[in-house]
Amino acid sequence: MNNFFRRLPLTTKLLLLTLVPILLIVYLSIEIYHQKTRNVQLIQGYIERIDESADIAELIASLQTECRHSFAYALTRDINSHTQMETQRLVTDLAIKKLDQRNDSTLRNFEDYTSLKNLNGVRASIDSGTSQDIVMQYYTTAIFRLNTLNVVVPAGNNSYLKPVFNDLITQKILSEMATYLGIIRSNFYNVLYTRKNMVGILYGLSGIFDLYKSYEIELLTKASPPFLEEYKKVSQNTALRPTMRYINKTFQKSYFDSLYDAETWWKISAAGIDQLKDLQQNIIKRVQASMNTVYNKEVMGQQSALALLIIAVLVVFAIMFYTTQVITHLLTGLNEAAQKIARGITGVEIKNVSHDVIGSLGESILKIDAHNKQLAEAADAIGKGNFNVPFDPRSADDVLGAAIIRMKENLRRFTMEIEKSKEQFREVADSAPVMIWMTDENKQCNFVNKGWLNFSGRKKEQELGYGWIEGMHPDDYTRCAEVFDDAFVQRREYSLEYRFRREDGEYRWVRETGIPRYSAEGTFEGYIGSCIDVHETKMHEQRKDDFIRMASHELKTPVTSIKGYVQLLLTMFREHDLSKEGLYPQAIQTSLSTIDKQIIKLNRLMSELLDLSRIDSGKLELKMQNFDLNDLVKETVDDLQQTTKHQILVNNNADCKLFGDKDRISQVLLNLLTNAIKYSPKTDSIEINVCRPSQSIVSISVKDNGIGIDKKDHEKIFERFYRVEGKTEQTYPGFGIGLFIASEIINRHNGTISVESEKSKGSTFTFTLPITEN
Amino acid sequence: MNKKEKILVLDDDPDIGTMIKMMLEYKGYSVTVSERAEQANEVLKNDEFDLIIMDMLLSGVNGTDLCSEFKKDNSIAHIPVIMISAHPNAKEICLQAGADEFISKPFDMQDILSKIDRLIHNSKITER
Repeated sequence: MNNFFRRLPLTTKLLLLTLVPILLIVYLSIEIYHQKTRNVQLIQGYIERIDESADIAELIASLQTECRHSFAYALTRDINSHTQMETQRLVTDLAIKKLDQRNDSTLRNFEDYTSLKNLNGVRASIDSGTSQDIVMQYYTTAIFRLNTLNVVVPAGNNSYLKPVFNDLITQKILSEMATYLGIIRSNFYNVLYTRKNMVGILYGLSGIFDLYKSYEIELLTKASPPFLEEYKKVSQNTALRPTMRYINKTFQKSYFDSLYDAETWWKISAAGIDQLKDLQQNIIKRVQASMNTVYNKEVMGQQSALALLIIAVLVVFAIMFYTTQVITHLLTGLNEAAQKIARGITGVEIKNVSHDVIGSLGESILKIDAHNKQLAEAADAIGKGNFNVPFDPRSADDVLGAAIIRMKENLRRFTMEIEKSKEQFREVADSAPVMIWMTDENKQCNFVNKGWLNFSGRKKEQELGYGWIEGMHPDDYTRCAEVFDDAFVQRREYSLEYRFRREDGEYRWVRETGIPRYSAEGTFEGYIGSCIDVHETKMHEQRKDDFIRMASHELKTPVTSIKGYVQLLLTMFREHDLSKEGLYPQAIQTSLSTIDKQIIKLNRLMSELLDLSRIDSGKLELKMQNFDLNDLVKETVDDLQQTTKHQILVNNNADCKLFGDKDRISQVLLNLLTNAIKYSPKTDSIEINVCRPSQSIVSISVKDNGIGIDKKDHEKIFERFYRVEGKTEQTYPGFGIGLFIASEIINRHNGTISVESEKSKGSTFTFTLPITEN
Repeated sequence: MNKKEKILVLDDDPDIGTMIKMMLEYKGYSVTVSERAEQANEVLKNDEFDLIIMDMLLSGVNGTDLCSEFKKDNSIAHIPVIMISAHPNAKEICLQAGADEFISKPFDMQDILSKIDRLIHNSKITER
């Protein structure tokens, strides 16, 4: 249930909250309305009762008047009384009819038990001369009966009847008093008129007079003070006073004095009784007016209750609706603010914050926002290196704030360490005797050290970016740019040499090396490198190269000359058979042959020296071209075959073209072949195998059946100056650099060279080359 | 050999020139040695040669340039040229300059003779 209520939408919740009081108010209002309606009905009932009482009182009064006139007529039989009697009869009939029309159960068939149904009969008998006593008898009985119908409802606690209750009692008593007074009066008239039976009638009337007096006492006890005041006035100032005085005096003396004759008494007493009747009717009118006021008030109250009910419902509903709207709006505002904050936005606005839990929530959100903003500003400032930005945690529990402060401190420390490290780098770089530089990831120079500036004699600003290129020799630029661009794209290390202008204007050879540099995350950040002035070395090498080239040439000239003459001599000697001349032909021929062989060796040694020199100085230049491998093998073998007794067999299983330096590869093959010949003195066949172990590689091997090589020497024989030596082996002449040069050449062609051999079982040297073209 | 083939040798080293001259004359060729490149053109105008042997390095003149000139000159372009050099790797340059053969120093007598013979023989076949 709890969960169900929690999951309901806010509006529904608030409406539910509204519903309960509204229902309660509606219920209470209906109850009040009902109560009011009941009161109105009650009052209506009372009013009807009072009206009924009034009607009864009116009928009684009419009957009294009719009785009086009838009595007077019966007694006197004068025409005047008859006329008054006749007129009064119509009034009485009207009163009876009026009462008849009242649809009250208590009045049903009232004419039966009040003997009024006999009224017409009595009237007829009066007209035909019945006695006045019978008349009095009849009317008095009817009036008594009617008086019993005029019941006063007990007021009890009825707040509406209480104010009129005394008046109702009073009017009732007045009615009784008037009745009894009328009886007394009529009898007095009878006595005064007839002058007969005075004492008897007086005696008979004394009980009636006692009743009258007891009613008066009751009246004085129960009537309201204002009425008593009125009653007092009436009984002292009107005809009632002489009437009552005469009656009292008569009963006191038990004798009718001669103060009034019959006619005078009749008139005065009539006026006295009328005073009582007037009083009664006044009271009834007052009661009716008062009841009407109460009634109208109640009806008004009832209507205002209904109006209030409607207004209350409307007001409550309006208030609830407005409250719901306001709360929803507030919560929507808070929700939007919270969502903004959730999206990382700062600077949210919450308007009209209330002083309750929602307002408190709003203030909390604003605080969060303000804090976020402060955090963001602090983080920004810290990010910009402003570590003095004032920032305090909100509380001891402010995890984020504490983290920011830790971050600030750590960043401050790291930054200082980085600064220190940078400073150290600068110091190291500046104190280094070489030129140090750095580029960014776009090849732009962003650092040169003091050594660089000292060398170029320029300002740092001039060198940064691409400014330093001005110092490079124009002839070297294109070559260097190609190497650098190529390395840069591949993020390779590189090394190159170029001429760079010194402060004195002289172009000096420098050797530049560069390596890519990366951030801690592995992001490429550019290159860092150094330049060393290698001018002297370069010049020295140049001179050395020149010297070697020159020396080689100069050495070859005499060797060529010697070789030519020796061969000429040998030829002449062979063809002309100079032995006949008596010289020592064998000795001469042997000498010339030996000279010839040694010259070949000398020549090869010189070539090897030259190559070694070139390799050392990086000047072993390859003249790359496309060529046919078969042609190369054939030419090399043909050339060699002329000068050796060894039979060179070629097993060519591959037909391919290569891209490389044909002469140099020929030199390698020649070197392997001459080695094979040299180290297999006791056999006379050399085997060349050409094959393709894979689509992209060709393999050339030279196999001999010579002395072989110990396994331990297999790797070392390709090193420079390495020679296989041993006590038992025959020593072979040479520098031990032939295989070194061969391996250099093959490596430069991205090939491999290797040996398979066993001691005394011959050797197989194999080199492979990549095939770039078929 | 009905007629002696004429060979012009251009070499600024007289020892080498003389050596080649003796070698070839011994083999029956008629050899003229010129030490100076400037003389070569004159010599070539005055006489008809069957073959030219020239060093790659001549004093004052680059042998390859001279060879190129020969090959551009219609009157002598048909004469086969053998270039000699102490640089074993100069073969390519020389052949590019128009030389018909290249021999590296020091050369083998048998080698140079066979190349001369082949060139003159081929040249004669072409002439016919």
